[in-house]
Amino acid sequence: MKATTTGGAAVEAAAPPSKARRRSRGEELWGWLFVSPMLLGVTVLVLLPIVATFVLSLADWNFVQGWDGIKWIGLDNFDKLLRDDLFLRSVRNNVIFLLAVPVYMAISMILAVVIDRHVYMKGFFKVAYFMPYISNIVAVAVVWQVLFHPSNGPVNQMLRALGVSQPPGWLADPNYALPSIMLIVVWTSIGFNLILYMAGLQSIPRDLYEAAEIDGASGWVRFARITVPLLSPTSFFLLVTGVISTFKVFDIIAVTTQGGPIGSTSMMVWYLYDTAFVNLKVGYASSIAVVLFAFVLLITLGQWAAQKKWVNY
Amino acid sequence: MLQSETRTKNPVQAYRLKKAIRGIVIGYFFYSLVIGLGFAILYPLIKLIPFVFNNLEDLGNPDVIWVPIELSVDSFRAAMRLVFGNGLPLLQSVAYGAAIALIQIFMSAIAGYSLGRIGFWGRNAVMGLVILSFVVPPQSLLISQYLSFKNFDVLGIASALGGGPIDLINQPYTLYAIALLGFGVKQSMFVFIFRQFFKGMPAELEEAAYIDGCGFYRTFFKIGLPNALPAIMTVGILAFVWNYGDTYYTGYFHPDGPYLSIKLATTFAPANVNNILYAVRTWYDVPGATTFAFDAVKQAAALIFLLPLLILYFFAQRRIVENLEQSGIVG
Repeated sequence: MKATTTGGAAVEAAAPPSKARRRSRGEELWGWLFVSPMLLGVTVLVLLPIVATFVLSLADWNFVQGWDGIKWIGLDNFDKLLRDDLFLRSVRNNVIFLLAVPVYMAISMILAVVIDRHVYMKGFFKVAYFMPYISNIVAVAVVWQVLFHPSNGPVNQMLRALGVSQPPGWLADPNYALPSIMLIVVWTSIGFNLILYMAGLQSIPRDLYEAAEIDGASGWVRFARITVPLLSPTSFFLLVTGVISTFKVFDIIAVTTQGGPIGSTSMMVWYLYDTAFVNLKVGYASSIAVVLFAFVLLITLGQWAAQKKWVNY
Repeated sequence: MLQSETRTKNPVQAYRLKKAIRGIVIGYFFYSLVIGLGFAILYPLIKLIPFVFNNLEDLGNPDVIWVPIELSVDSFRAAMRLVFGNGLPLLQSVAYGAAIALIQIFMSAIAGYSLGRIGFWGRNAVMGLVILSFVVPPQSLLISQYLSFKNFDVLGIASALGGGPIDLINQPYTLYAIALLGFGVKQSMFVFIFRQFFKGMPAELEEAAYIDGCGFYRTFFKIGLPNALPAIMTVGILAFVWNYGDTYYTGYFHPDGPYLSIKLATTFAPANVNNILYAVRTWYDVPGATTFAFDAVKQAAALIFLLPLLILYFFAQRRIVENLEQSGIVG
């Protein structure tokens, strides 16, 4: 198998038709032309700002002072970060938030299998579950605030009816605010994950299941030995994007808790935003951004490296 | 011995019976799982409806759970008066979302085509940049972006032309320029979707077009783009939904613009509770209205705001889901 493919490639490389070669040079030009607007945008709006962030992280600078007020202080900002309780709390919250990803992935995978294989009206259920993804987070946050209202929200009314005398205050309770936000994120994420898992299920050949059934494999064994491994490319994609998205959780915090109560829902991005645009400490905020970049890049690269261990292509 | 012989017929029946019962039990379990979770998922959206139709003074009455005692559309009227006016802001926001979505579709399609189809030199580096801009949280770049937009002057071109740096903040065209440069709301994800789609498209179609004498851009417009309809629809709808509801780009680069998402957030900010309650009490003659009335008006506004999305979803739901499945994000 391998020999034939490399052989084929060698033949192609050895005798390329002259027309194709000319075309490919023209193509190269067109290729660059087609990506050039994006490339310009990424340079101006991503690369340069990243460089600027690194530079500013070495400075003590307030937004309103203008360029004259800038003071270069070396790595002092990072030193301060290590002793900043609210920052450390934000990092911890970010780490806790990672738990939401496997939770919604597992729910979505099981739902996808059940809906795809065991239930009529597939289309209807897919559409229903996808609904939260297509609605707007700002508008939906309004509803969740009402649902989670400590005294009159339906959630707590139901808990009281079930005999819980002191139901949690959800978004208003420092111990429950972060899990509440995680719950909302799980709620919005299930739809997208479910659809991608459904798409992944379509590409698993049916005869694998038939063969396993003849061999006497139970439903659970078939799920664990065929479905889960063959969905691993989808799981990998969803895990990587899901983990990255936990570092980008911002809107929902901005609309509901603003990092409170007492810093219990402060995440790195929120703390950075608060430092830069409320407290106007640009240098300090930039050093938070640098730490955030480091986290995100390390996690992405780490996942890429670990991919070989468990992803089947 | 004798016993086992009499039983030989029974095990088959018993097996069938057992299988049927198991089928029913498992089916029941699966249906309750799917329907139960589905209800939990839709509940927050369904719950909007009875609440906003309540009489403003009945709100918070624990007897009212699903069916309002007295139907009233006051919260809608208040929401219209506070946020939506004569409906023009809604149209403007829809038009804005659609325009940006169109730009994003086109720009991501050409970039994705190039990345997925053409082996140009440096392609992997460009792809790395796309992933980088996907990974980096936009808020962390906001400071530098804001500063550079405030005094926009790439390589001193603007100063050289006279007039010094340009202030791009709060200009209506800034947001369009950002989308054109491939950095609108989640645009790197859209580029990625197109790239994956074009990568998986059979090469024969394009080869045939080349042989028939189509140039590069004609092949793209005649073959590539029309065949990418699933990706176009997926990106188009997601882009519309996210741009329509965006408060981040609009809020920073054009805060004075006519965007409903911003207006919704500022009108119903916690600091405004008393003003709005006062307005509602006097407009509709409901002196007993409590903060629940504020919530109801807020939810009514949210519902009207979601209306274009709900309509879009209602008409295109199955297509959206199918296209997302076909767009081949994974693989």
